[in-house]
Amino acid sequence: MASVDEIVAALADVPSADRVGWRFADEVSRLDQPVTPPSRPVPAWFRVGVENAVGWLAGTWPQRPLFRPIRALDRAGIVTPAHDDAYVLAMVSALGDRGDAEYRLAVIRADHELRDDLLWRVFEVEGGGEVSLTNVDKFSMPGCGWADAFRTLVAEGALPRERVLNSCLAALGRDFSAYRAGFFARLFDSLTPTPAELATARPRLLRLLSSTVPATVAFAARHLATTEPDEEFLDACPPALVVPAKNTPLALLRLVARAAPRHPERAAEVAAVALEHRHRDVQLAALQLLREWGAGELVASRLDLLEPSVAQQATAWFGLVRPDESPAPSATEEIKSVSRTPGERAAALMAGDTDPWEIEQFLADVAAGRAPTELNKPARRAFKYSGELRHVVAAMLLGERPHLSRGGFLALRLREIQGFTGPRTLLATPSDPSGWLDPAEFVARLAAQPGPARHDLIAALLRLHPDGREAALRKGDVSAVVRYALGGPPAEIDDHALWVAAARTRAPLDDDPHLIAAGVTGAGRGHAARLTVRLTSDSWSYQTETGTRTVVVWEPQLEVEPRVVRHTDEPTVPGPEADFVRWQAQTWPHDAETFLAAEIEAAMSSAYGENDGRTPERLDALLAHPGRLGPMAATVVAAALTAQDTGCRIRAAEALTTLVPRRIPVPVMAGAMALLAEHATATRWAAALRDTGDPHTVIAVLSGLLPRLPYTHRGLNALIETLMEECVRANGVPGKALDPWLSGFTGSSKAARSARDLAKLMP
Amino acid sequence: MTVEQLYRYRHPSVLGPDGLRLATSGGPVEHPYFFDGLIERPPVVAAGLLAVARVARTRFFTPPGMLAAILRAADPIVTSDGAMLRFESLSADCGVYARLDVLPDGLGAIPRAAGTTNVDFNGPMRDALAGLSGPDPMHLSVGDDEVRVRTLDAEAVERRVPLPGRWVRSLAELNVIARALRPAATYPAAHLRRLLQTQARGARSADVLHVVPGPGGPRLASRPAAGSVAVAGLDRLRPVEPLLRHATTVRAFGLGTGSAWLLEMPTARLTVMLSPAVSRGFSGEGGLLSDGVLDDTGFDLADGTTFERRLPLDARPDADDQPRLRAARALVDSGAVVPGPDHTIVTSGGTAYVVRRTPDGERCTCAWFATHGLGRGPCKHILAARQGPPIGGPS
Repeated sequence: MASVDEIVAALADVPSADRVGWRFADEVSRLDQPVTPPSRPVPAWFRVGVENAVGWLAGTWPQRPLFRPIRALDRAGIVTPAHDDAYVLAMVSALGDRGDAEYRLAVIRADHELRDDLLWRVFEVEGGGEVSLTNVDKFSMPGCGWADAFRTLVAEGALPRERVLNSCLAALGRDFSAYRAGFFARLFDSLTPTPAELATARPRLLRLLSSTVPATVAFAARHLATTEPDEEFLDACPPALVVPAKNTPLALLRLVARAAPRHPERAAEVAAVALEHRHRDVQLAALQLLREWGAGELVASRLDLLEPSVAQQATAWFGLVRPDESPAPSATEEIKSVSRTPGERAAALMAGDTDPWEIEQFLADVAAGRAPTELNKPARRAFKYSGELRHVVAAMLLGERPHLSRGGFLALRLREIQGFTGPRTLLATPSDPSGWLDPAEFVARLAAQPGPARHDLIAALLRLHPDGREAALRKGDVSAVVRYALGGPPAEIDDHALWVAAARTRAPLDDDPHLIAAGVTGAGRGHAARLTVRLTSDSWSYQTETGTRTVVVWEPQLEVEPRVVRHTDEPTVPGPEADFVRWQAQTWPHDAETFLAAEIEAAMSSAYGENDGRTPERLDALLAHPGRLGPMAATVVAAALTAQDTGCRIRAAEALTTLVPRRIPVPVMAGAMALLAEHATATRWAAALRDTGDPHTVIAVLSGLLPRLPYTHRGLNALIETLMEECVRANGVPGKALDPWLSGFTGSSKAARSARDLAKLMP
Repeated sequence: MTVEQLYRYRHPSVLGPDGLRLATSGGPVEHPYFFDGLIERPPVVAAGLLAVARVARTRFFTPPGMLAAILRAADPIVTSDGAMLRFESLSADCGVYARLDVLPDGLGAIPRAAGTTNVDFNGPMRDALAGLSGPDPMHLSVGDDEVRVRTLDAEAVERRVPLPGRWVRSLAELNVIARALRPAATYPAAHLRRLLQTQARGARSADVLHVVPGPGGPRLASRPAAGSVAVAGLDRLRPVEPLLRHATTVRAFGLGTGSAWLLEMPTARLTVMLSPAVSRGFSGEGGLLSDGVLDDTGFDLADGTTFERRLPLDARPDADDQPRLRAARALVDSGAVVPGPDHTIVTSGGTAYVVRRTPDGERCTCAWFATHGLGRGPCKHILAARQGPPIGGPS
């Protein structure tokens, strides 16, 4: 411990540039208390330093009582910082200790000015980041937070209870964030206000019904439920009837019903506001009240806001006519980009463009000697983005070796191109943006460039379009393997990878007897790959304050038949996850399943906060792929439908309605969702499927999925409700397969009740 | 460049027993006195003022590496045109703009003077506004009359706020952007509220999604459709949520991935504009590069008219003080612009960028053009090429 003089002397030795806020807070924490006046007035830099310490504490939670000595200097008149918002926040931050309640309590008890004046400012200054009452309390040890201090001091009589209660309500009425407002609601509740105190608080509670913080509205509604609703309550109620969660409006509607006998017209007007709530249960509750009160005229103007089933009920009860819903507009065509020069293309790719067409055109530019030479400096910058496509582009421009985390066939192609000793035309450059190569164009390139590069030839063979092969075969004198790819006769197999490519383009989804007979066997080689995926789970438990929590994580296990024999130059064999999703998806336009199988695990991880962020790319690649889509594609879509990110779920829902049933059969989609049911969050699925604008596809998929789910499945009610609403919206009926499943529900759970409602729609 | 703006108010703004008294600083005189009278529907005006104040205090995007401290926010401004009052603000990241127009039928008296001034929106005043309710008219004064000035005993308020040049340029760009916005769809207010409520609270997303009209109300899509509006960071629209219960309709406007939302309310309107990306402020949108005039008039989407306002700033940036224009001039002056037969070479930072002309406009091989095209105005190389010798050689 030290005196003021000693602390000043110690800090005087510190270079002025280092006399920062935390340094002062740390040094001043050694202050002896009670404070001995210094032998002479402290220098100006010391006063400034203490003020900086206050500023530092206002933004940083040191978890130690570093404000106490600063307050002691203030009380002693040695350094008197302004009692502004920063001072108040410094007090919030560092008056107490994270693990010892006594520090804070002792100061408040002993410091009258602080207790009677400054302390109440904590209800007025919101704070942020680390420093707020909420945050300090959240991370303090139990019993050592600010709320504990307030409770203790109120119980002792050191703080007036009424003032604490009123200050909590005043704070809740301020423009604080939900996180920081929560402290005051919890403190108020923990003081267990009496009926008389709640009656006194009623005007403030009524005003809180219009808070922008839903939790504050719920808080107010909960306490108002103990008081008798009157006209003032009805006037204050409407904003609270449309808060997002349904429980608060439902509770308030019960109060509105109690007020109705004395104020029937006003109660009906207020109840009608609840029709605007997004939740079906709230809408129904309001509708039932209005029906009871004969106030159908208040419903007509809100008919288009109602969920389809509620609107149906409203039209039946009140004889209203619901206007037909106009169909959702379809997406507009994307504007095609203008043709680019090689320099513009390279610049675009280095700026982050990942269009596969553009990257293939760029590779063709590089191979042909057309790559721009003036972009070396931007390429040096782009080269630093290891792991991204721009890094590859930069590497090709600079003649550096690109770093690919998974390498594979892509790396072989790039290395081959970099090894060219003169300009040449790439065989594998697609003739159209979906990745196909026109057979006639291919043969023409072959004729113009004898001695094709090996990986270039493999890549080109895999891209051959099914149409036009016969004509191409007649056009030129080509090698045996090319002839075989175009449909010609088998011949001796010299290069396995080339013949695998030829077989996989000749009959992509069938076994190739010629290769099998030659011993080139295995999935994606002589044999067509048969892919299935199943899920396995891993779980672990940990202790929390409230008990034991168990976390279950599901992982996909890909099974490939027949056996997998992997060679880097045979990209038709299921391999690791792609480095560059959109580009690598175009490696084999005939079949997306092989590519997508490797992407399922990463797509599933989108359900969690930590993921690679590439699910939108996967969906883009899937949508753009011209080849076979099946269970692997459906599983990727099902996984993306439960992504944490809203944008991903929207894209997944769009993919579902675009691809099902045209390219992915309904049973396959339903099967994929059933497979992922334990992994997915059913309410996310339900929300994603609600807004697709394609109710018929949603009805078909959910009709196929639901019978495969157990009656106890978490979130089942949300899926059943979605199916019902989409049926009503589209005047459709659920699939027949649902009938036995629906009739198997028993009990009075939400899902059981919804199932019975849904069953009424069955023909 | 940064403008060090000194706000000097005679007293803090306050909501008290005699109504809402807004203190003013700067503009046509040191402390303009614009309005004194009743306002209809105080809860609507209060909610609107709070929304404007909230936008001014909010940073919707924090660049990587920025310290946690929030920049001191600029005070909202109010413009009186002799008929209505307009309260405006811009977020700290210059990506969200809000304006509350209190219409003539919402004012119980005609404004006393015209012009633009800053208004003090302090914490206690905002707290009081948050608690305002009730249908009765309320007294509002914007500024003070001489009698009140003589009898004032409140303490004056003075604070300095550094206003980045981009903040000032953003307000100017907004005028250009607003004029180019195209109307998309009109929604009942309840529909927009539902859309906002489906977004997770607290989640800040940079995603660009499209608000598409559909059966049962607007929905989100990843691609545009007829009547749709692209929105970058939909959560940036949350400031309008408290006003939706007062609004009758919401009109949506779009331009690229930028959008504007106009809430029609009895006696007032709220306009919120969102920049094309969460990380982008309005200042870099390049509209002024074409117009070339730092015009700080405002544009009202409701009726497609401009309104006069001269920003009450202590110092004003030069109309030519556009970073890209400065850079382009420097390139021309240094001889870095060399016209070729069908293109211009502009050498900058050791790289020779190629600018060529196409029927759809100029193109460049720089990273800026590769990322933005002409959507944010021309890059400095294209500007330099325009200023330098013409393609094909000197004329």
